[in-house]
Amino acid sequence: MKLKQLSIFLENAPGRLYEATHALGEAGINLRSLCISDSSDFGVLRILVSDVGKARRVIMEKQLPARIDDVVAVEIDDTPGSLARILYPFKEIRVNVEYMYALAGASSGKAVMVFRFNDNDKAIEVLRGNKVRILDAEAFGMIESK
Amino acid sequence: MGKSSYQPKRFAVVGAGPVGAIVAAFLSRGGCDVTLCDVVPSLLKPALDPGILIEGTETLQAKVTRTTTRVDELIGNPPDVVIVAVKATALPLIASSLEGFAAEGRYVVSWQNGIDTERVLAEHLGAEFVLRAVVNLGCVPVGPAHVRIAFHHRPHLIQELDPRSMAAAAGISEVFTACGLDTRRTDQIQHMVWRKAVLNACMNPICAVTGKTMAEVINDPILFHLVDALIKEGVSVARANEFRLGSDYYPYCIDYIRNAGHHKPSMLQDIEAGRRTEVDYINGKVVEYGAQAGVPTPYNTMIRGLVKALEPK
Repeated sequence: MKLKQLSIFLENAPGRLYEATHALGEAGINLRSLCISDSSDFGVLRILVSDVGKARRVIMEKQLPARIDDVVAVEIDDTPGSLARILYPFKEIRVNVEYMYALAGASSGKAVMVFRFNDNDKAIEVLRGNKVRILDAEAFGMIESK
Repeated sequence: MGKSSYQPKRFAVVGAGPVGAIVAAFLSRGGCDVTLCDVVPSLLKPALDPGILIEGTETLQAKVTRTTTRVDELIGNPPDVVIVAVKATALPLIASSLEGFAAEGRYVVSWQNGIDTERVLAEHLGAEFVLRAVVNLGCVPVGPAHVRIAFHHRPHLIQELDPRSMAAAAGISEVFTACGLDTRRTDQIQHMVWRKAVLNACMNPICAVTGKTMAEVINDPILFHLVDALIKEGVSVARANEFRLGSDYYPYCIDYIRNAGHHKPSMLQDIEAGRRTEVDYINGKVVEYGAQAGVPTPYNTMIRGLVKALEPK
């Protein structure tokens, strides 16, 4: 149920984001979700892609510093309070959200949240116990096997 | 001590740069089954035919068994041991590509420069299947599958991360030694890694920034003052973190550098070739560990910043 997310570290310099996204586009890799955050001297581009293995090879060839992390994607109602309701059980069991980002318009009337937990396996157990729909690679149209 | 029960025969070497090519050549010449892997196809073709050519302190030519441009292909036809000889910056992606390789009797060796490379591998594969080596040679690429060894200070060192893999470390070191790449299992690898890293941290970035060889740097009084400051800063950080460098470490450093002659360290080679360097895993780690122990690292911070500024944008 975990998804493979590609995190690419980009120096805060003009053209770096273009270089990475252009290379992936040229290789026919579709970005299923994306978020970018920055620190003082570099940014992190976090993406779920249609073909993880191929994307990894493209980034290796470009010699960009990057890593693969496990994340968990869940579908929630697009209504006030839905996210807080999902997060509530984690207070008790001391599972932290390291970061998260939203993916709007993934399905009608629903929002998709992508989480990186400090313990993804434990988080999945809790989410399942609370009948939260967890999205797998197939739901995202992602190939992860290569 | 008797022979280890673990005697691997099938190896994959990930990274067909100078360090990877040397390992692949020695293992191939020693009769091992060797798969050489790199994302750059032009580095692989001559490794199959006429073979990898090594010159310099020793001369040999050997053909690898097969090549591949895809690390994840190794999962389908797994070797006994994967030797990771890529730049440390490529490690996180390589490590994730090798997920699924780790199993009983299979191991991955970080045969690299830099601090904490083995931790990146262990994060993906599990500590039981990861070993760390310290490589004691200097080399330069002449062309694809053609390398010149500038200096070779035997033996190389290897250690398991998990005591359950002690026989594997011993067995791999025996095979390497039998192939002419003398390697010894140690139980002091972290200290050895720091001995090597402080040495790299004092010379490599100075060469990278100035464009000078190691001999030119050590013979320039102004630059030698910077080298000296970097050694002392690295020693302070290592000792504050309780890594043992040994009481003879300073003269050892100076001797090592003097004997390297007109060698261009890999960090300078990278800058000249427009590649990213390993400075984050060398000086960057000295800075990181310095912060952890409350030791200021102004020289390492400065030189790391200057090298980063020269890296391709």
